[in-house]
Amino acid sequence: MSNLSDILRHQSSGLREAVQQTLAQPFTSLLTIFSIALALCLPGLLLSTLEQMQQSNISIEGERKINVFLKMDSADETIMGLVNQLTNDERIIKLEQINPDAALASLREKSEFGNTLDALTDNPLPTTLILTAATTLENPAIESLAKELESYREVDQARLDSEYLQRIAQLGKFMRTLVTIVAILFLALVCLVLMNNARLEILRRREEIEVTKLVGGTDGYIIRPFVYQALILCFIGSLLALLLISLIFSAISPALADLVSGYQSTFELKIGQKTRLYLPIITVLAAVTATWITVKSTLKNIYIQ
Amino acid sequence: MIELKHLGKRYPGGQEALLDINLSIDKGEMVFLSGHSGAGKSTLLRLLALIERPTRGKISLNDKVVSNLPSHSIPYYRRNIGMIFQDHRLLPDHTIADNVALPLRISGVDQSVIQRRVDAALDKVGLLKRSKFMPIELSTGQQQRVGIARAVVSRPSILLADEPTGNLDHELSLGIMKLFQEFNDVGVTVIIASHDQAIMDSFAKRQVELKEARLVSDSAANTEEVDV
Ligand SMILES: Nc1ncnc2c1ncn2[C@@H]1O[C@H](COP(=O)(O)OP(=O)(O)O)[C@@H](O)[C@H]1O
Ligand SMILES: [Mg+2]
Repeated sequence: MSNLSDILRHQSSGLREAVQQTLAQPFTSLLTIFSIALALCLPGLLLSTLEQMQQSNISIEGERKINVFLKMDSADETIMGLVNQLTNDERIIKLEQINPDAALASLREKSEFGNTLDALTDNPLPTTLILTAATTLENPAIESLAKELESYREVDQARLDSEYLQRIAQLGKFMRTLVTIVAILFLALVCLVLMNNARLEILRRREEIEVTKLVGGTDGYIIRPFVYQALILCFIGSLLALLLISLIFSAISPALADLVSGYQSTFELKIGQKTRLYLPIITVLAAVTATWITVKSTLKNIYIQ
Repeated sequence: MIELKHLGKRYPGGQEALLDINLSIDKGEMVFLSGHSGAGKSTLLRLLALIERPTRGKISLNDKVVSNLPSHSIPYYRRNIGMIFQDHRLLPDHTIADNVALPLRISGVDQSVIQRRVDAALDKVGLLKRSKFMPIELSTGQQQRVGIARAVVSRPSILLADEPTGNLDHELSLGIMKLFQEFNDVGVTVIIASHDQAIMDSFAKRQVELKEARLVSDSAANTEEVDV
């Protein structure tokens, strides 16, 4: 008999024992699975949201825009010159010129203040150029381009249309911290539930454990079924959590679609790939470790009567 | 060979349960440990099984000191020892066959081998037909026989029995003791603690008496004739 086949046989008997224990108490097992699933929902929802935010961030980055407001008194010729110069600049791939009259007209169309605007004698709006930076430009390069534009004599202001993006980035940072904290808290909750379960189960089966020790059972033999059971319950629990999360997402995504349509974003809520992968793995690893430590230390307190 | 040298056990509460016990038991011997309740019989068996550690002296088995074995080696040491208890300690929610199979399962024996050896052990104690029963469905005497089957199923070289007939009437007790004698006949070392003098006297075997933690008489040392 090789060592490997010994190990495999011990592990498979531990696994079999764990399956039997799990099925022998279906109600308790289901309660634990649901507790785990519910505890994982919040961190899972947040993690997926974060993941989607990061992805949508990338898709928006392709269309960086700079709004260039020209000085009110700029002459048509100087504007023409600037437009020509910018059109030839390879950092800019698109240029759209909005004249004050057109801007006012469209404002009048959209606005409830149409009458108020009629009262104006002068057009208060400047000529505006909307530039789209090349996709090859990184964020800092776009910022320095905006600064450069602002230094032009005819330019009053060059504003990066990336405030939304910056807000998203800040929100992303905040979300990452939040997700980390929430994930740790709820993972700890899952571990505590399992540790408590293991303790109670050891006390309930104290007689059996004592007899097992008396006939020569090693700690490993006693511990393995507990660890495998934690593994099984957590695995099923996290799959259930993923299911619940996708149900929750599909319930809230119509409302979200309305919300983000104003931003013309591709933002969409669904379970991210990382969530799908890491949620079960991290949960199972944490649970297995916590259970192993609990059972090992609880066994130390069982003296054979 | 089991050898106890200046063996002493003082429980954490301060109770001296054994004082300076010197005893050697040959391989294949059958020995009765006699003495009143509280004399230290159970403590001696618990020390032999390394359920407790001695506070003085040492225990050796086949010239190897075992009383200081590291904890992780104890399970493997115990697999060579079959233990029988007064309250038999069967697992109530397992069948008779499962109870008997436990020592084999913990050492990872193949299922087919387990089946065969469990049947043989149950056959030996006359309970093969009850293998699918639950412990509660058997009488006390039958439960004790299951306890014996569990102790012998892994073919240990030593059997330790603590008051195995404590709850049984004379007739059933004799039957149990005869069973031990049969295992002894095939070379198993058997050590039985009992306070039932009549039962022990029914067998022409060595008797070691404990009294207030001390070994006070040994039929082998005294060459005292034992009633048959
Ligand atoms: N776990 C224990 N803790 C403290 N004292 C004990 C323990 N077990 C036994 N004793 C004491 O040790 C002495 C011997 O007990 P024991 O070995 O059980 O005797 P016997 O089996 O001969 O009746 C008794 O006085 C008993 O009270
Ligand atoms: Mg006793």
